[in-house]
Amino acid sequence: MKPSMSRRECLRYLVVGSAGVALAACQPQVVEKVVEKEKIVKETIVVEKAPKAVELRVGVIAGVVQEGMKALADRYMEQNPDSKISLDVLSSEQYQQAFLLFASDDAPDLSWFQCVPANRFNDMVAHKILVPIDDLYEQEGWFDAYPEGIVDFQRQPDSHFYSATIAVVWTPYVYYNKDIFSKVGIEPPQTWDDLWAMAAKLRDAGYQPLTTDYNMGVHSHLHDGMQLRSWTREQYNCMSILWRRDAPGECDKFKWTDPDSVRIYEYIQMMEDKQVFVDGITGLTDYNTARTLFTTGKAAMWQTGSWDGGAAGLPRDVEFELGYFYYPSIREEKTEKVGAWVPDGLIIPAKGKRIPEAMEFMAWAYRMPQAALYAQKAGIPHGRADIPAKVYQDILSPMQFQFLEDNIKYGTPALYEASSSQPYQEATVKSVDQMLAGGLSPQEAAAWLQQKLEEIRAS
Amino acid sequence: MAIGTPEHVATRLFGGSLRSIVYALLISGALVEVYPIFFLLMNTQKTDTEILNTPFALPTRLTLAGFKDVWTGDRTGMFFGRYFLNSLVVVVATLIFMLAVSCLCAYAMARGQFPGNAALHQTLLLTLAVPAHALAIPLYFFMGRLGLRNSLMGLTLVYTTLGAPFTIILMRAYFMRFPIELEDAARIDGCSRLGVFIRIVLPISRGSIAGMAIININWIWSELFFALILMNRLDMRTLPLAIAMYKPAQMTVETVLQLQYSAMAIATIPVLIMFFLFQQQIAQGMTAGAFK
Amino acid sequence: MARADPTEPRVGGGEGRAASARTWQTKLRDALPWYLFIAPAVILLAALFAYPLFDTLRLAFYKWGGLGRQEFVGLQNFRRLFADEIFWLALRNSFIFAIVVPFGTVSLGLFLAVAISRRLKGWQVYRIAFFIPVMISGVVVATLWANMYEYNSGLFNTVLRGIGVGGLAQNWLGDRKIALWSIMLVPVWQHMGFPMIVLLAAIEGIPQDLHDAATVDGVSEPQRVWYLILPLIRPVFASITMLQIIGAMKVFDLVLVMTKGGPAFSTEVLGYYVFETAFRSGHFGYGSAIAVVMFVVVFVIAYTYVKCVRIEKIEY
Repeated sequence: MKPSMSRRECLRYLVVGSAGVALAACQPQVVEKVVEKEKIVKETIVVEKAPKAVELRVGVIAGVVQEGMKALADRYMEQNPDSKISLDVLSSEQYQQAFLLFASDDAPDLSWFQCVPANRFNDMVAHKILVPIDDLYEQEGWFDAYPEGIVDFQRQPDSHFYSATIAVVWTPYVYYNKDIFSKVGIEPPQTWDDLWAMAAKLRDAGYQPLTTDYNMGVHSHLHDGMQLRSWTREQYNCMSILWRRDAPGECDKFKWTDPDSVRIYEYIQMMEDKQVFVDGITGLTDYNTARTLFTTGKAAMWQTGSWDGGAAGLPRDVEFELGYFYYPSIREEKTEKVGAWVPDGLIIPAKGKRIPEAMEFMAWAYRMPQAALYAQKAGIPHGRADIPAKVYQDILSPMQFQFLEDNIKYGTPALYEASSSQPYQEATVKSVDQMLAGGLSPQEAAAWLQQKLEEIRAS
Repeated sequence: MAIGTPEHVATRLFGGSLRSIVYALLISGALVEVYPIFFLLMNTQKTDTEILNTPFALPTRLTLAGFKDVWTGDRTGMFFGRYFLNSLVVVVATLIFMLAVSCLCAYAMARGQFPGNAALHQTLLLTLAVPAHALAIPLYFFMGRLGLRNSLMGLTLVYTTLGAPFTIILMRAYFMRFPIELEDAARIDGCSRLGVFIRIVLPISRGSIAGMAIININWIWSELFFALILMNRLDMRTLPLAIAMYKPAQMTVETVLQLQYSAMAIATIPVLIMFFLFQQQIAQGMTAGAFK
Repeated sequence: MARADPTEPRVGGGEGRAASARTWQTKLRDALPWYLFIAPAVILLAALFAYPLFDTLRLAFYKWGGLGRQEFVGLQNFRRLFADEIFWLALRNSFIFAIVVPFGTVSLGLFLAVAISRRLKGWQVYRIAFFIPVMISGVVVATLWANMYEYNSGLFNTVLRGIGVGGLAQNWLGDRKIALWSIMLVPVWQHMGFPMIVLLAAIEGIPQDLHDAATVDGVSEPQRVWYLILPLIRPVFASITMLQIIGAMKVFDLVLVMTKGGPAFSTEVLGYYVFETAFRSGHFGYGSAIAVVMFVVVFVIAYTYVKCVRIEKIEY
C-alpha cells in the first residue's frame, strides 16, 4: 500500500453516490441471445449479455458472505445454465492460515477475503500468490465507480490491484434498547459525563449498561473509536503503519506513549471505572454470549459494528425498539464518528486453474444489478460509489441506510486494523487486555505496546 | 480371591464419623461429576431465556428441533451431521489403519530376532515423551505439500502416527506373552510368518485388539489440535473442531444457546451410549494401558 | 509358567540351525519378513513423526513467515525466547498445570479407588459416575465449563447469588488471579476417573491372602490402606502419575476454548503459545524454537521421573 496520506483520506464516496441519483435508471437489460453487442451509455449503464459459461469453485466464509455469494452464484447459473459454481466454505477463525491454501494447488478459483496485512495479504501480494486485476479495473470502470480513497487503499505497493471492495462496514456503533431507555428515563449521551450518569441510572434500575465482547469489541472496536476521537489526522494516518520498515519518516515522531495515544487507554479505563461495562466483562470473550445479554434485555446497550444494524442483524433478532448512537467526542475539532472497513472483496489465486473464468465472474459480480443483489443479501452497502441512494433505500434496512447517510455527512477514515500487521494487531489487542485485566495503568499499557512495537520493528 | 465379595469386606470400614465424611464426599463428588452432563443434556431442550434465567428448572417439553437444526445446518449454517460423519470416518479409518500397522510391527518386535529390534523399542518408548506440538509446524507444511490438508485421509495418517507408538508398545507386551506353541504348530504345518500371524495369532488376540481400539477411540474422537491446523475448510471439520469454532448464525434470540448445547450433545451422546454398552471392556482397556 | 525373561523376543522353534553356521544371507532372509512387518509402522513414523520433529529443530534456527525464503538466524530465536516475558509466563503456567492437575486427579483417583475397592455402599454407582466425564470430548467439557463460569448468567454465579452469597461470585475466567485455577479445576473434574479405574485394578490385583494376613494381624482400615495397599500399587501409581504429568504439560484444548491465553496472559501455556506464535502470528521460526524448548522440558521431566521413580515390578 502506498504509505501516503491520500490512502487514509476520508472515504466521502457517497457524495459521489448521491449525485448518482441520475443513474437511477440503472436497469439491467438481460438479452436472450448468447452473443449481443454491448451498448455502453454515457453513465455506464451496461447491457447485460448472458455471461460466459464457467465452472468455478468460490471460497467464502459462513454467514452473510455465504448467503450473498450464493445469491450471486445462483443468478449466474440462471443466466447461463451451462455454468457450475460451487462454494467452498472456509473458516474465518483460521484466516491466518488461509494464505497457505491460496498458495497451494488446492486453491479455489476465486475467493472472498479480508485483504489486510493481518491476514498476510501483503505477503501474498509480495510472493505473487494472487492474480493482478488491473485489467478489470480498467475494463469495468472501477476507477470511476469507486471513491478515490478506496482505490488508493486497494492499490498495492507494486502499484497493482488484487482485489476490489465488495462491502463496507463501520465501527463502533452503540445500539440501545429504546424501551429500557424510556423506562429508566434516559437519552443517548451527548458528552462523556452523560454516559457516566446514564450508566449509574441504568444500574440503579437493575440493568447492565453496555455489553460488548472482550475480544474484538473491547480490544479492537472500542480502541478504534477512541483513536478516532483522540488522535490528530496525522497521528491517525501514521500509528497503524508504524510496524512497517518503509513507514514514512515523518511518522517516526509518534509514539504510543504520547499523551494523545495514552488518552485512548485512559478513556477505556474510565469506562471500566465508571462501570459502564457489563459486570465481568473481562470474562466475556464470546461474541454471541455478549450479544445475548443485549437481545434478552439484560443490558441496555450493545457495542459492535454496522453490520448488526442490517437486515440480517439485530432488527431481525430483537423484539424491542432499537436505536443507536455514537460515542461522544473528545477533541472539539474531530467530527468523524466511526471508521470504515473496506478490505472485504474477491481475490483470484494465481494457482487457480480457471483464471479467465474467475475474472469473468468477478467482473460480472461487481456490476450494478449484482452489486445491489449482494448488498441486499448481506444487508450492508457495497463499496461502489455509484449505487444510487434510492436503490439503497430499497434494499437496506432503515437503520443501515441511516448509517450510510450519517457516514456521508461525517466522513469515515479507514480503520486501524486495515493496515496493521498481525503481530502489531495482536499487541494492540493485548495492550488493552493488560490494562483491563492485567492491572496496568493506561500509561503502562501504552508503554507496553510501544515496547512491543519496537520489538516488532526490530525483528 | 475376589476382594469385593461381601465376606471380605471389613465390617467397620472406617471410624464412624470419618465414614460419614467419606460418604458425604463420595456422594457430593458423584453429583458434581454427573450434574454438568445432565445440565448439558437438559439445556438442549430449553430456550435461551430458560437456560439463563432458570438453569435448574427441568425443561417443560422435549424437542428434537434443536438437534435437527444443528445436524442439518438448515438455519444455522453449521452442518453437524457432516462433521459427525467426518469424525466417524476418521475414527474408524484411524483405528483400522493404526491397529493393522501396530499389530504387525508389535508382532515382529515380539517374535522377530532382527537387528534394530531393541533400538526400535527404545525409540518408541522415547516418542511417548514427545509433545505433539513439537511436530506441528513442519507437519503442517509437509501435509500441504503432499496435498493432504483438508483431507480426512491426511488426518487419519496423522492420527495413526500419533497413536502408533503407544499401541505398538502395548501390543508387543501382549504378543510376548502369547503362547508360542500355537504358532510353532502352524509353522511346522508349513504356514508362512504372515499366515501364522493372520490365521492363528490375530483371531485369538481379538480381545486385546478390541481393548486397544477402546483405549484409542477416546482421544481420536476428541482430538482438536491437528484438526485445527490441518482442516480449514468448513465441510472438512471434525466434531471437536466444529464445537471449538462454534459461531452461531444470528438466529432467533431464543435458540442460540440451545443450539450450541445441541451440538455438544451430538458429540457426547454417542460416547455415552458406547460407554454404557461397553463398560466392562472400556475399564479393562483403560487399565491395560497404564500397566505398561 | 516357566519362562525365560519375557522382555526378550522369543524365536520360533522352526529353524534349529547352529548359530555359528548361519551366514549373513540366511540371517537376512530370516529377518526379511520381520522387516516387512515393521515397514509400514516405521515408514509412517519416519515420515510423519521423526522428519517433522527434526525439521522443527532445524526451523528453530531460521526466520520464516510461511511464504518465500527461510532466513537463517542462528540462535536469535532462542535469545529472543529467553528475553520474552510471555514465554516465561507460559512456562510457569505449564509447570503449575503439570503439578496441580496430576496431584488433583491422582490423589482423588486414589481416594475413590480405595473407597470403591473397599466396597463402600453404592460403589457401582461411584465407579460409573466418576468415569463418565473421562469419556467426553475435552472440547465439549471446556465449552460447557466456560458457559458455567460465565459471570452474569453462568451456573456457578447463579447458584451463589441464589443462595444469598452473591458476594462470592467471581469473574472465574476474567480475573487474572483465578483464571488459571478455574481452568485447572476442569481437567481435575474430568479426568479423576482415569486414575481411579487404573488404581482400582491395581488394588484389586493384590492377592487376597495378603489382606487376610493383615486382617488376622488386626489392622485398622487406615493402617491397611497406608501400609498394605499403597506400597503394593506403587509402580502403577508412579506410572499413572507420570502419564498425567505429561498430559498436563500438553494442555491446549482447554486454553483455546476457554480463555485463549488471557486474561493478561495468565492462562498462557506452552502448547498454546506455540500455536499462537506460529499459526496466528505467522512466526514459524520462532514458534519452532518455542516448540523445541517445550519438547526438551517435557522430555527432561519424563526422563528424570522415570530414572528417579524406579518403576520396578512388584513381586508378591
